[in-house]
This record gives sequence, C-alpha cells and structure tokens, in this order.
Amino acid sequence: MTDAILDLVGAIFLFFGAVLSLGAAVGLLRFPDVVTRMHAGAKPQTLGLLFLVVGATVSIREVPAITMAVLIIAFQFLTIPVSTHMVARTAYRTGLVAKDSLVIDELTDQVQQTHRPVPRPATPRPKPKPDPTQREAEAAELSHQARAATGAEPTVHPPEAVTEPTPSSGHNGVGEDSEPQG
Amino acid sequence: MTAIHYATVVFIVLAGAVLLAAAVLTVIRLSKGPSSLDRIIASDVMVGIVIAGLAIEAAVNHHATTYPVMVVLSLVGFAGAVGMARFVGDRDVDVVRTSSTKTEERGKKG
Repeated sequence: MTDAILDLVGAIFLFFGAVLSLGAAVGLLRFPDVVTRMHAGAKPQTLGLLFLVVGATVSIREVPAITMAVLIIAFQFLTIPVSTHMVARTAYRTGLVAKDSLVIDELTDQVQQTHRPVPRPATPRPKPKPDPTQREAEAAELSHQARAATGAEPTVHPPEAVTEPTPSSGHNGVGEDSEPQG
Repeated sequence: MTAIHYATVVFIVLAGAVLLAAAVLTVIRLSKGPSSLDRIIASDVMVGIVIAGLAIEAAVNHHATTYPVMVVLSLVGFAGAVGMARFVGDRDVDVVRTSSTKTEERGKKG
C-alpha cells in the first residue's frame, strides 16, 4: 500500500514537472524578447527538473537512483547559470534586448564606460605595424653604420644573404660573402 | 487495480502528453527563433525536456538505467550554449535588429 502511495506521489511530481516544461514552452513561443524567453525557459531547467527527478526517484526508491538524482540536480543548478549568463550577456551587448521594455537600465552606462577604453587597447595595435619597418630601418642603419665603421664584415652580411633566396641575389650574396673571405 | 494505481497511471500519461506538447512548442521556437540566441535558449529547454522524458521513462519502468544519461546531459548541456553565445551569438544581429527591436531605434531617433 505504501508502495502504491509513493508511486502516486512520484507520478504527481512528474506531472507538475511536465506542466512547468509546458509553461516554459508556451512562454518561449509567446514572449517577445531574448531575455523574457530566457526567463520562461529557466523554469523546466531548474524547478521542473527538480520535480521530475524527485518524482522518478520516489517512484524507483533505490540507493543508486537517489545518489544520481542528487548529482543531476547539483550539476544542473551549477551549470545552468553559466550558460544563461553568457546568453544574456551576448544578447544585451548585441542589442537584442528592447531597451524601452526595461524599467531600470543600469547596465548601459557600465557597458558604455567599459566600451570607451576599447580604443585604448586598440592603440597598441598600430604600434606593432610601424614596429617591423622601424626595426628594419634601424637594422639597416645599424648595418650601414657597421659597414661604414668596420668595413664589410662577414658578420653583417649573412642575414642579408638569407633574406634573399632568389638565384640572382644569391649570386650577389655569394660574391659579397666570397670577397671578405678571400 | 485499485484507485491509487489508476490515478498513478493517469498522472504519468498526462505528464507524458504535456511533455510532448512542450517539446513540439519548443521545436517551433527552435525553427522560428529570429536570432541564434533564441535558438540557443530553445535548445537548452529541449535538453531539459529530454531529461524529463528520461525521468518519466525511469519512473514508468522502475529502473535507474537512464539516470547516468541524465547526469551526463545535465553536466555537459551548458557547454554548447556557452560556446554559441560567446563565439557565434552576434553573427546575425544585423538581420535580427532591423526586424525585432525597431522600437529601440525609433526611441533613439525621436
């Protein structure tokens, strides 16, 4: 008799969990916005899943089922906020939230403040672009100075020979390399 | 077959039917959803409905075989949503913005 009553309690839990899922689906269809749809969709993922897992576990009444039910609920409650947070963040920052439907919007100022420094991190980007040319120019100047100061040293020439792999320049490189060696 | 057994069967069958209707409505939003974020939310709800179906199956057959599947789904179900929202969530924003949030642009102009 107690088994039958526990089965009935489990079935009622399952029914309420399924009703929450249906409510989430209806809200998912009818709500106009990403954020409101997310609000509706969170119900079967948390409370509905809690009801359903508890109902199934009450119907089964075994130790492994109880253990895994605790695991299911714990994992779901830990991981759902992560995905919901990311989806809401992307939705807000891409303008998919209708701003006139919000009562209080304290995030826009913060986002604008954090968006202002975005050009500042972008300023280091132009630096690397002139950097290679400047480095090349400086290296060329240094090599010229070195040539002028010490005469054609063999330590300066090998990089130029390496950077010019074409056969015509290879001739020159070989000739230049052969001159100081000889 | 007492009244309690009868009520149990009725509740479980009703739960299955309601869950099926919820799955159909979620698939409609999954196919319509103007932005990919709507589809992400709908697919998350769909994962929850699949877990619910597995729970009902376990309750009907009185075994815990489907419980590991539910554990895995609840553990990894969020990864796809996070990846989509982080990397491709803003791909089709220009198309969606012109259709769904016109009121915001009107407010900005006015």
